[in-house]
Amino acid sequence: MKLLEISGLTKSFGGVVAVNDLSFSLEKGQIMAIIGPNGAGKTTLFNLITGVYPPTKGSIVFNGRDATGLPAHRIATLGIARTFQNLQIFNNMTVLENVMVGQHTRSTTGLMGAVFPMGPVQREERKVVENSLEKLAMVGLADKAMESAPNLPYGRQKMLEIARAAALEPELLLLDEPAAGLNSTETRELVNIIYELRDRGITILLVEHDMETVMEIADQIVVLNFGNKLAEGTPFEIQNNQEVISAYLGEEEF
Amino acid sequence: MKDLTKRKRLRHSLIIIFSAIILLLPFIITNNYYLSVLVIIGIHTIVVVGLCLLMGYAGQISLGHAAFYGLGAYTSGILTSTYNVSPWIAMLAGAVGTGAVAYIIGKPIFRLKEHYLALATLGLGLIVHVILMEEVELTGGPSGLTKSIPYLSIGKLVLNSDFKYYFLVWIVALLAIILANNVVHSRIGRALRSIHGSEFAAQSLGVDTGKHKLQVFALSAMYASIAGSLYAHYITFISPNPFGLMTSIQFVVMAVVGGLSSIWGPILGVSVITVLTEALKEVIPKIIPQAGGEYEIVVFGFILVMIMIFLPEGLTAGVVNLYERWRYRKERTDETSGN
Amino acid sequence: MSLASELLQYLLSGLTMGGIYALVALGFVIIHNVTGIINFAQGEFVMLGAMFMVTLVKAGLPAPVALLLSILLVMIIVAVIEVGAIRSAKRASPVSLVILTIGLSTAIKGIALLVWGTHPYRLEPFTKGGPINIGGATIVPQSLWIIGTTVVVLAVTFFVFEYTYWGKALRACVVNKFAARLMGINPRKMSLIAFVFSAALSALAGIVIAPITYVTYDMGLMLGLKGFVAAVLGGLSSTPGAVFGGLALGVIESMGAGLISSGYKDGISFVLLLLVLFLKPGGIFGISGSKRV
Repeated sequence: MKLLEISGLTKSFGGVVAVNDLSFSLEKGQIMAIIGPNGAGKTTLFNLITGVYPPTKGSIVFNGRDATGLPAHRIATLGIARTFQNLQIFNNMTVLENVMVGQHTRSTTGLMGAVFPMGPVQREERKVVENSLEKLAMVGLADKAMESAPNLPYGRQKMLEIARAAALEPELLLLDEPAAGLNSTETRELVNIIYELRDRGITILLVEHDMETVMEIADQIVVLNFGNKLAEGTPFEIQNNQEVISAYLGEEEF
Repeated sequence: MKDLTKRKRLRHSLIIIFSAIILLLPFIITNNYYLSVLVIIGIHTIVVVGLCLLMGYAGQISLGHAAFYGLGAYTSGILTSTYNVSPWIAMLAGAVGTGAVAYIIGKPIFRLKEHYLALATLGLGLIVHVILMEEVELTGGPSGLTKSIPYLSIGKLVLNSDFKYYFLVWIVALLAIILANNVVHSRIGRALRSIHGSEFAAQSLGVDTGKHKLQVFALSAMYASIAGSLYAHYITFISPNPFGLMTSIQFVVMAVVGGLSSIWGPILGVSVITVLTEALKEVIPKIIPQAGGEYEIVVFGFILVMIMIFLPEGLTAGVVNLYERWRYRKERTDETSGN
Repeated sequence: MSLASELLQYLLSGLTMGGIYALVALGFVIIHNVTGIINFAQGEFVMLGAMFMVTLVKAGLPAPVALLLSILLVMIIVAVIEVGAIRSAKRASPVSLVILTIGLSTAIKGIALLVWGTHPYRLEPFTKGGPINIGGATIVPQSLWIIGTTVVVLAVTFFVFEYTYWGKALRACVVNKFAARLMGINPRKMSLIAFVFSAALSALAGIVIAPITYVTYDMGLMLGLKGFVAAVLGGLSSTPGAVFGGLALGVIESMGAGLISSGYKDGISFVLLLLVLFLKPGGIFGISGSKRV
């Protein structure tokens, strides 16, 4: 079953075309990687899917529903979560609270409930805490729950972002360069977490520069170059694709 | 989980201790003048608690809170004196009405960015002030309501002294603090704080930033309105004067001085500014004999500028920082002496 | 008086005030464009200009000298404020910056109160002579001075922005701060220049308006706010927009005061502000959108 269908997606900023007539689709339960040199339009693609800005042309269909041009918070309610290339941790909160925000769409307390927290509100709050702690445990941060988020080291903050996105209990999770800046032990942990998420039924779309990791975990790879789709296929197909090799030579260590 | 309950318990016990001190105070301070200053501090605290929710958590500034304060005061004043409505119903009507006005003003505004709410609330404040001045038939114009406003009463107990009114005002103020505290530690409060941390990430997690900001804005307007009603029944006479732009700015100063991100900020900010204002009224005429009351604005201005430059998070955060630095140093010396 | 001449009367007095609003609005827009700050202290620059002028003329200086000196004094004061207060808080959030400029405004007003007291001052009109009759409406010569000054200042501003290095650099900062920095334009210096330049405009506005109004320590508030409304009408980031916004506000206000009620004069401007914010946040005369380019 197709979870995400991108067709003819185009985004131009002024005269610069960042993503050009891009089409691909993502099966439920897959891990798909988007690769390509810097400036290939990978992050722009993420921002289009998550509604940071509307596309110039084309459509995004998620779970059979048209999600083109919806604002970011509506996209999130549909069940798409993401992490960021430049960390976007809530620095004014604890680790746990960060993840609790991830449960925003999974809880319903309104202003009246917030002002007068009666039984049901308190029960919901307890559930949010439990769920969030579970997500923290998944990424190995359970013992850091009460710490101030900015006090975590960089690698842990990346894990926190994943836990926070997972707390949304999304169907599709977008990871923007999850391995960047991680050491090899941390990258191992990351790979295991990604598998864990997949096993929980979450479909994963990631942008990544670390080719070793990509080739290991991706079921399917889409290669972008200057906003255009250069190739699509399994890791084996991509590794043997002449066009990809020539586009990459001298630009990236393959 | 255990840590969480521990923190919550600490928060609650702090509130209980503080409430106890507040409610014992009038038995120690019997001077009527001091008591009336404390009543005013209580009333202003209610406004500023709401304003802090808006500024500290929704990251928006209102330059028109005196208008909401005024709407509450005038709704109570007019309904009770001219139309003989029960004061409690009038207070409720004022709060609901003011909340609705804020909601209507806020709805289109929160789609815009940054300064626009400041502008719109400023405009609203001035419009309300003009209406209070000009609608003479309804409001009595610049000289104020002609009929006197009744005292509040609970059953047969008429709250006609500073001592009795003190308890009403501070119970409401404490309630205001506790409810605001509930909001901060709720789903809504977390959503609002997340906007402050990273609006980008907050939206990606499904937080409808505009909606929550608007809700808090309406809530803070209702706080101001209730405070206005309490003011009207305390003074029993109202004119447009205390509901102008200067008062709005004064509320902002109080909020900023106390600091925006702690529930204790408002009380500290309001107390510091109110006591300072009263002290200046005493001191300035002794230094500059021909001085009027306007001189206090010099001090306000300087406080605001100094705070924004040197203590941008307010006095409360400044004190907390000092305390943490002290504790850190102490821990270090304990460690070294222990080894 | 016939309705036509009455309307002409309102139009003329509207344009007079509108010129002042336009000057203040221009100052707002320049600072906002270059630094992103909404400067709530702008009105106080107007007041300072008028106060210095009154004081210097009283001290016996010839009017043109007093005028130049007053503007210079305001420029120096604002430069000190920019370096001393604004610069050190530059990285604060927009809300903090709004609060900071409100604080500055209050502090300046307070100092003015200490120096000049509460009583109003008068300034003699620039030229003597009775009111002039135009088609049944009358206009005082000072109004012509105000309108004339506005026109000249706008022409000079336009020239500066189009043809001088500093003007072009200022515009570059507005279009793209980052690129401007790459080109070797120092944004710090630009912020200072923007503040000083807009202070000069506002001070001039204060000086030309002084003869037709009373000069008091708290005159800046309303003038500043009206200039603000004018800037928003114009879209907050466009200089021609600010000018049109100012003139339109002056005329609408004067018509409203004449035809509806003079007590509601200030109310009308702010109702207009709210309407524009709700319906056309890009401003009536806005060339760009609601966001700064």
